[in-house]
This record gives sequence, C-alpha cells and structure tokens, in this order.
Amino acid sequence: MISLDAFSTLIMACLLLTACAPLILVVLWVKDFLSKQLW
Amino acid sequence: MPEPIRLVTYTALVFLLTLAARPSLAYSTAQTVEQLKPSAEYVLGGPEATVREGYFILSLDNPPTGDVTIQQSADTDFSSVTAEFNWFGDFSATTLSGFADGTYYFRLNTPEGFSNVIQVEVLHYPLWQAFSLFFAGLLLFLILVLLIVRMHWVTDD
Amino acid sequence: MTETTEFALNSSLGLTLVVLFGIAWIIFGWYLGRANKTHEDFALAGRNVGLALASATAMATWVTSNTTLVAPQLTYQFGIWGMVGYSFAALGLILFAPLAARIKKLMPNGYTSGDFIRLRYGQLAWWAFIIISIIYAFGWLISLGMAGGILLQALSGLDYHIGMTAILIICVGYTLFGGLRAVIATDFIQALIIIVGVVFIAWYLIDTVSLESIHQEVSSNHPQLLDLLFPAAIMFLFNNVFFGLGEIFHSNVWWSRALAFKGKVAFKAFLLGGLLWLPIPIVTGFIALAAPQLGIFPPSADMVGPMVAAEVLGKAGAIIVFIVVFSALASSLDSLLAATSDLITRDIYHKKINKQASDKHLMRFNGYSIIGLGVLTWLICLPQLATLGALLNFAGAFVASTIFPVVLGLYQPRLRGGYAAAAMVVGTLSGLAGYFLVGFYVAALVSCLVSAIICAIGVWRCRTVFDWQQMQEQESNA
Repeated sequence: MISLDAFSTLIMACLLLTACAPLILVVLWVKDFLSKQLW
Repeated sequence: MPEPIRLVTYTALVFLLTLAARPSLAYSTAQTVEQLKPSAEYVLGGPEATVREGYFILSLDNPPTGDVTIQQSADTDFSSVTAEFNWFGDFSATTLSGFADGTYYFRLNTPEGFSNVIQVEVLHYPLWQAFSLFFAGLLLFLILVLLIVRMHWVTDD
Repeated sequence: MTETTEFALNSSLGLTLVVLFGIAWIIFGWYLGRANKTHEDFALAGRNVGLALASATAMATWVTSNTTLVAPQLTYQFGIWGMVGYSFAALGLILFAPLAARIKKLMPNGYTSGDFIRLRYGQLAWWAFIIISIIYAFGWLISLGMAGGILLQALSGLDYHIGMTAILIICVGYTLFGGLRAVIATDFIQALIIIVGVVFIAWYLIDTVSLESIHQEVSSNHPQLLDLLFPAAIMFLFNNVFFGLGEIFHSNVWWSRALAFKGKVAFKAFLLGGLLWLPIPIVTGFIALAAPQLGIFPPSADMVGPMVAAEVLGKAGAIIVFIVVFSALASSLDSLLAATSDLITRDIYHKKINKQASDKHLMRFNGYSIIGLGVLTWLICLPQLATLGALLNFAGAFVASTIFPVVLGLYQPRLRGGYAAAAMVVGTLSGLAGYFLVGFYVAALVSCLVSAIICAIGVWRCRTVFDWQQMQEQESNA
C-alpha cells in the first residue's frame, strides 16, 4: 500500500508540473509570435 | 474559399438544424409514472463470474426514484454492514472498484426495505502471472527503445 | 422542463454553451482558413508550423478525451498504477520525436502515413495498413462522438442526440473551413483551457476534501486501489504502453503533424509535447480517487472524472467541467477528421481513383471527405449502441502490430514489403486471438510481439537493400 506521504508527493509534484505547462506554452507562443515564426 | 455571408448562413442553418432536431428531448427526461415501482421490488444484479480485476458493475432492473444506497457485508444475513455506497441519481447501474480478494454480499437499501442479496466473488490474478506479463512487456519495450535510439544515432548526421 | 436537480447544469445553459462555443470555433476556423491557397496549405498548414503551436498541438491532441475521461476511469479501476501507467502513454509522443525528424528527412514532400507505407513497402502492406488505419480512425471517431453525447447528457441532461450532433457539426465546421491550420490553432487554445481547468479542479478538490481524507477513505474501503502489487494493473501496464505507441506511430494524425512542422521543429515539438503531457493523467486520474470520499459511485467508470468535478465545484464549476470536456473532445475529433480525410483524399482518391486530379479538385474533395466522415460517424452514433463504444477496446490489437513495421521501415533498409504486410496481418490476428482467448490486457502486447518476431525474421532473411532514394524520386513525380 502506498503511504500518505508518497501519495501526496506524487500528486502535488504532478499538479505543480501541470500548472507550469500553460506558462511554457504561452512563453513559446510569444517568442514565436515576436520572431514571426508561428506558421 | 467560403465568403463571409455564405459562412454565416451555413453556420446558422446548421445550428437551427441541431436545435430543431428533437427539441422536446433537449431537456432531462424524468421518470414517467408507469415506470415507478415500489422499492421493495427492485432486483439487484451483479457479476456472474468471479471478479479478477477488483471492480464490477451492479445493476438494477429499473432506475431508482429516491435516495437509495448499496449495503455491503461479509455474510448473507448482513449482521454487520461493512460499507454503504450511495446510488448515483436515477442511473440503473453503479461501478464499484478496489476490492481485495474475498466474498462480498450486497443489497439495495431503500426507505421501503431491502432488495435481494447478491454475492460477488473477488479473486485477483496470481502475482506470478502479472509479473510475467509485466516483464515480457518491459523486455519488448526496451528492445524497441534501444532500436530507435541506436538507429536514429546511426542515421542522424 | 420537468426536472433538473439531478444534473449539475440545466439543459438550456448546456445548449447555450454548446452553441456559443460552436459559433466561436467555426468563425475562428474560417478566419484561419482564409490563408489556405493550395491543398498543401489545407492538409498540412503550409508545412511551416513553429515550435509553440507544434508542441501545443502534439500535447492537446493527446490530452483530449484520453486524459480527461480515460485517465480517471483507469484510476477508478486500477488505482495508483492506473494513473501512473496511463501517464506512460507520454512515451508514445517522446519516442515519436526521433521518428518525426526522420519522417521529415525521408519524405520532405510527403503527405500521409499511407504515402510512406506505399512507397516503402508496396501495395500489399499498404492494404493491410490502410485497413488498420481506417478501423482505428472509425473506432476513435465513433467513441468520441458517443462520448460527446453521453457526457453532455450526464452533465446537463441535454439529450444524447443533440449533444452528439452538435459536437460533430462544430468540429466538421471548423475543420472544413480552416483545414489543419484551424485544427492546430484551436488545439493551442483548447490545450490551455483543458490544463487550466484540470489544475483548477484538482487544486480545489485538494483544498476542500484534503489528500489525507481521500487516502484514508480509499485505503479502508477500496484498498486495492492504493496497492502497488495490484495484479490486474501490473498486467495491463505494458499492454497500455504498446497500445499508445501503436496509436501514435501508425496514425496519420501524428504523421501529418510531423510533416506540417517546420524543419527542425518536429523533434523538439514531440519531445516537449510528451514531457508536458506526462504529469497530466496523474492530475486528472487523481480526481477519480476522491469519488468514494464524496460518495460518488458512477454508473460506468468512464464517467467518474466529470461527475466528481461537477459534484465538488457545484454549478459554477460544472460550467468549467463542461467547457473542459467539450474542448477535450473537440481537439481530438478535429484532428482525427482532418487526418483521416487527408488519408482518404491522398491515399485512396488521388493515388487509386483519380491520378490526374488538380490541386483545386483535391482541396474540394478533401472538404467533401470531411463532411462524409462527419455524416457517417453521425449515422453510426445515432442508435447509441454501447457495444460500438467498446470498439476502441480491441483497437489495441490492430495498431500495436504496426509499431515495428513503421519503425524498421523508417530506419532499416533490409525489411521487404511482404514481411511488413505479414507482420501487420498476423500480428493483428494474434492480438485479437489474445483479446478473446485470454483477456483485454494482452491484446496489444501479443500483437506487437508477434509482429516484432516476423519483422526480425524478415530483416534476418532479407538479401536486398531498399534504396531510400526511391521515396524521393516517386515523390517528385507525384
């Protein structure tokens, strides 16, 4: 059985990483947009 | 290339079509009176065969109308109810999961009384069988990864 | 309106949201479609997609229905291993990164995965491949259409037929007007909506229910879900990985993206898309573990995610769930419509029926095939047969048989078409036999294993070497 600590760490770490994804995508978009590399 | 006016017309038509499809059914269908049965007459159904994955579906012959629950016990007479699960809405089935090996009994608990009792046998696959498939998969996967990495390395200049 | 209390949203609000979203996406699709001058523009977005949109579309198409519905379902059934195992599907995107770079290099002017199989392996293998592709695409299209109807109904009481019809019309609409460009641009926005929504729901859930109480409830009443030695989950793990690899490696959904991305972008985009995708199934899957604590036991396991979210967040939250699920379904459906219609236009129509077709003619035919696919899917979804939704379950047997033929076809010149065709056909049949004789958890594994063995024999016995130049030459004549 997975312990509470391991369970919480897994969930919180993944939540944090997932939360970063939109930021990364938006930063990349702005970068591509400014350098006219979108399409 | 579609012109703006044609686009708007088509889009509007297409949505009107959707809305016109079955407007009376666009709203939730409530139970008609004929379908209602006294709660004591509910027939609870469950998996016939032994459950190998620890999850199974319990079903009712007709959707419940009020608040009902499923009672779980380790013996047929329900001398001690080990768990009680809410039945969700007026659906005619519910999925329960995460059961360890053992024999479980379930019945429907309604304000008017109980339903029939069903028996569910849970017996997980043996671990040796699980691990042999796991390692067979792992081996094949590693071969694939090594193949891709090596071939990509060789062909990439 | 008779009764709405059972549903998180009322039907008219649900319908309004669908109509508003539909109009917005279709106008956006039309706006983007103005730049499409040639069939290449329409089918491959001008082959010049940059890193941001490329990574987002790789991730969003793979996020979609899989992650918002299937990850909670597997977690509800298989617990911790269900969600961790599901996140391994990111390996499909990550391993496709080198293949995508190779695809760009081998056939810079290619259009579809079918093109590759035809040029590399010849007619026989092409037939096996195209049948597998079409079966898989239809299985997925139908399951998405049905999921759309069922979920909108579960959340708002909107009739199944209306939800299903609306989602198909919207996706057909903007894919038709905008082509791959619209698919990719809407994917970017849909990806943002989905991730932000999912993070919000999970965070809110942890805040209100707490991880401790979820852990305690699950460990006392559903202990197997937290058990790392859960036999069925362990058995199923690699089967799921091979299913995912097969889906990505063979499907034109991913090939057309690889071909549409700008030069060196393909490798980076799939790698980044895969890494960004990796933690998402754990976040969405975790939502299902809160179900017992909240007293939610879904009618079928695939509904658990949206039901928990709608329950916890109440009415305002249900709107978020509705939008997230809708975006998720749409971003898969549009990609599948675009990629499958390309396959029909390019591989079947242009190469088999009308070889002299002009560019304009092909572009128009591509549009017709999008509409045709939409109508056909709609007709099949209409009776709401549960058994059709299960079609995707044994698709694993089909797609996993293509993994080794595709990988070896891209890199290894010593595999002939006959062996590749045999690997796909015999692999699929063995996978199906495994599915029916042993269980769902071996279908993809057996299929991939058998096809790998046949490919190995093929490479070992082969005395001739394929000339990679052949892919270029025929391409320029085409």
